[in-house]
Amino acid sequence: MQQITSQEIIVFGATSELAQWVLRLHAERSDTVTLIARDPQKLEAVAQDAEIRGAKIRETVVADLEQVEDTANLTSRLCQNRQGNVVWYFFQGVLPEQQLAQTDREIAQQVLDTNFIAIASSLHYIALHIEQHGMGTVVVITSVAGLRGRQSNYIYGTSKGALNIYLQGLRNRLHPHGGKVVTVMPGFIKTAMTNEMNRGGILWATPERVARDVIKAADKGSEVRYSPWFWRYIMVIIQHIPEKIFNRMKL
Amino acid sequence: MTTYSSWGLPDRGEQTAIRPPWRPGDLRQFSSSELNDSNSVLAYGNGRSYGDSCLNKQGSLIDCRSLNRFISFDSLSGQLSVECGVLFDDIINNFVPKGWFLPVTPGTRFVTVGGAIANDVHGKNHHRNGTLGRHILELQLLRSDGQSLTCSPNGNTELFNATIGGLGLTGMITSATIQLTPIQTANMDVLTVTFSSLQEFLDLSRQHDLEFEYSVAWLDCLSVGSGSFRGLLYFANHSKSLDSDVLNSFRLKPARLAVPFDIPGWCLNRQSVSLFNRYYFESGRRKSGNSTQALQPYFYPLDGINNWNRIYGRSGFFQYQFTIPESRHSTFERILKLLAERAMPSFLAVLKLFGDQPSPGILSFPKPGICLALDIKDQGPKTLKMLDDLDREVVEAGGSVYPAKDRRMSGDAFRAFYPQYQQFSEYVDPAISSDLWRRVIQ
Ligand SMILES: Cc1cc2nc3c(=O)[nH]c(=O)nc-3n(C[C@H](O)[C@H](O)[C@H](O)COP(=O)(O)OP(=O)(O)OC[C@H]3O[C@@H](n4cnc5c(N)ncnc54)[C@H](O)[C@@H]3O)c2cc1C
Repeated sequence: MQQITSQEIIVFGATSELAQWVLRLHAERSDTVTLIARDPQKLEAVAQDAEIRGAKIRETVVADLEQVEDTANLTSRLCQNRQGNVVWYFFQGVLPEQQLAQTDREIAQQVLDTNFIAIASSLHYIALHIEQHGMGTVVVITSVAGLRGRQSNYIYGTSKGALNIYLQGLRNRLHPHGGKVVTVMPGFIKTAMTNEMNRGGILWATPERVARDVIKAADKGSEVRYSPWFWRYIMVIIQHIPEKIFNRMKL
Repeated sequence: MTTYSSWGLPDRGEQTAIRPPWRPGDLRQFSSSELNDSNSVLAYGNGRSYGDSCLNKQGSLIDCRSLNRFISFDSLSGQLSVECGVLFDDIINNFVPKGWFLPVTPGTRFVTVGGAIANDVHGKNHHRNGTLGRHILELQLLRSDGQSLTCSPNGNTELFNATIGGLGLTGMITSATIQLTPIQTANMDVLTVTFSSLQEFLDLSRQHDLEFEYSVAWLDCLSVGSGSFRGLLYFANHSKSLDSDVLNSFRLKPARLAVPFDIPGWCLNRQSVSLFNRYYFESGRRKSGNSTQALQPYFYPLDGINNWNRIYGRSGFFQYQFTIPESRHSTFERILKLLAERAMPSFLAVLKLFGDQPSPGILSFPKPGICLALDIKDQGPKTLKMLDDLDREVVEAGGSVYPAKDRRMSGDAFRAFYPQYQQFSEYVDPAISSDLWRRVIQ
C-alpha cells in the first residue's frame, strides 16, 4: 500500500456509524479532522474517540444539517481557511419510513433537503474552492436505492438518485481542475438506522467493511464505488428489468 | 430477530436483541415495568463465553458491540476509560504502540470490556495481578430503576463488588476505567520447561512464579490415560530492553486461517488427538529453554484461527474449568483419571497455579490453587453424567467451576461452588436475567 502523508479531512454527519468507522481509519494515519454533526454530546463522544485513536481535531461544529441555509453558510466558512488536498466527506442522510413520507409532505421535503439540497448547497462552495486551489476531494455516500425507484423507498431513493446525478456532473466539471469526486454506493449496512429490518443474509455488510471501501475509494479518487463490490452486478440486473415487468413487482 | 450464540454453541438460537448506537442513559428504555422472564433483558458482549451466561432466550439481549468508543486516556498514569463494547483487540492495537498493555487478559482478545468485567476474567498472570476486577478503577452501571451509578472501590462499593464477576446480572455496565500496565517492548522473554508429574508442575510453578509475570502450562491429557503425567510449562516476562521500533510499529495481525464450517465429528478422535499431542509435546521439548516470542502468538495463539470452535462439529463441545486447593492432589488425580476413562481426550488442556490476590468480586471464580481448563467433546448424556461427577469431586474439595464456560452445571452444584450467591442475589437487578441464572437459581 502506498504511504499517505497526513491529510486534512472534513466530515459532515460525523456521528453516523459509517462515518465513525471511516474516521477511525483516518485517525490511524494521524489525519487532521473537522467534524460536523447535530447532537453536541454525540459529537463530543466521536471526537474524543477519534483523538485517542490518533486524529488531530481541528474543529467540531454543531450544526443541523437539515437546515439548507445554515449548512451552506457553514461550508462557505470552512472553505475560507483551508488549503491543500482537503477531503470532504458527506455521511449525512436520513432514511424515513416510506409510509410516513408518503402521507406527510413535510417529511418528504425534509428527506430531500437533508439528503440532497443541503449537500448540493455545500458542494456549491466546495466546487469553487477546488477550482480555485486546483485540488480537493469530495466523497459522498449515496445508495444503490438511488439507481431505480421502487415503491418501498422511492423518496429516499430520489434524494440519493438526484445526488448521484449531481455528482456525475460535478466530477465532470472538476476533472480539469484536479478535483476528485467520489460516489460511494453501499447496499444494506448493518447499522442502528437499519436495526428494525431483517439483517440476515450475505447482502448485509458491516459498517467496518463499508468504511474500508470508502477510504480506499477516497485514496484512489475512484469515480464510483459500490460497497460491497457485488452490488454493481445486482444493480445492473435490477436496472435492466423492463418497466412493464418491474411495475408488477413488489420490491 | 438475529442469531446470537456463545462460543461453545456455534450458530444456535434466534434472539431478540436491541443494539443501542449510543451509551444509553436509562435502562428503562429496554426493560418493561412488568417484571417476568419474557420481559427480562441481558447485556451481550462478544459471545466469547462458552455457555449460556451471555444468552437470554426467554427475554431479550442488549447487544453492546456498537458501544465501542474510547472516552479518555491519561498518558501519564495509563488510566483508560472506554465504553463497554470496546474489544481488548482494539485496546491492544491502540495502546501497545504507546507502551501500555492490559493488566489482565484472557486467552482471546475478542472480548469486550463489559463482558470481561462481568466474568472477572483472569490470565496467565493471575499469580501476580489477580483478576481483571482488581484493575477496574471505576464503572458506570445502569439499573432498571432508572439510576446510573458510578461504582468503584470507594463509592457504591457493594454494587461494584457484585458487578465484578456478576455475570451481567447487576445492571448494564456502560463504561469503565481500566488501569493499563506499562511495557517497554512488544516482545516476550519466554522460558519453556517440561514436567512429568503434578508435583513437579507445582514445584516448578512455585519456584519460577516469583520471577515471571506470566505462567501457564499445557497438559497432555492422553499421557494421563496411560498412567503418566506430562506437559509443558511456559513462563514469561515482557522483555525489558526498550525497543521503541517494535512498539511503534506494533499492529495485531488478523487471523490468517479459518474453520469455514463444522468439521464432521469423526475427524476428531483418539488417534488424531494423540498424534497432535505427541507432536506438540515433542516440538515443545525440543524448543525448551529460553526464547523470545512476539506478544500476539504468546497471548493469543488460538485467535490465529477464526471459528476454531467449529472443529468440534455440529454437536459442539463443553469447556470445563475448575479450581481446587493445591493440597487436594488426590482429587486432582481422580478427576484426571475420570476424564481419561470417560471422555474423548482433549488437546487443549490448560493448567495453572492461581495466586492468592483477592478479587473484589463477590461471585468471582478464581481461588488460590490448581486450575485446569479443558475442551470436552459433547457426546450426549454420558458426557453430561461425567461432568456431574466431576462437579461432585470439585465441590467435595471446596473448589469451584467457572460459569463463563458452563452451560450445564446443576443449581445444586452452583450453590455449592458459590455459597455467597445469596449475598450476591441482593444486588441482582430485577429486570435482568440470563439462561444461566434461571438454570442455577430458579
Ligand atoms: C479462546 C478463549 C479463551 C479464553 N480464555 C480465558 C481465560 O484465559 N480466562 C478467562 O477468564 N476467560 C477466558 N475465556 C472466556 C472469556 O474471556 C469470557 O467469557 C469473557 O467474559 C467473554 O467476554 P464477551 O465480551 O464475549 O462477553 P459475553 O460472553 O458476551 O458475556 C459474558 C457475560 O458478560 C455480561 N456482559 C456483557 N457485556 C456487559 C455489560 N456491558 N454490562 C454488564 N454485563 C455485561 C453478559 O451478560 C455475560 O454474563 C476465553 C474464551 C475463549 C473463547
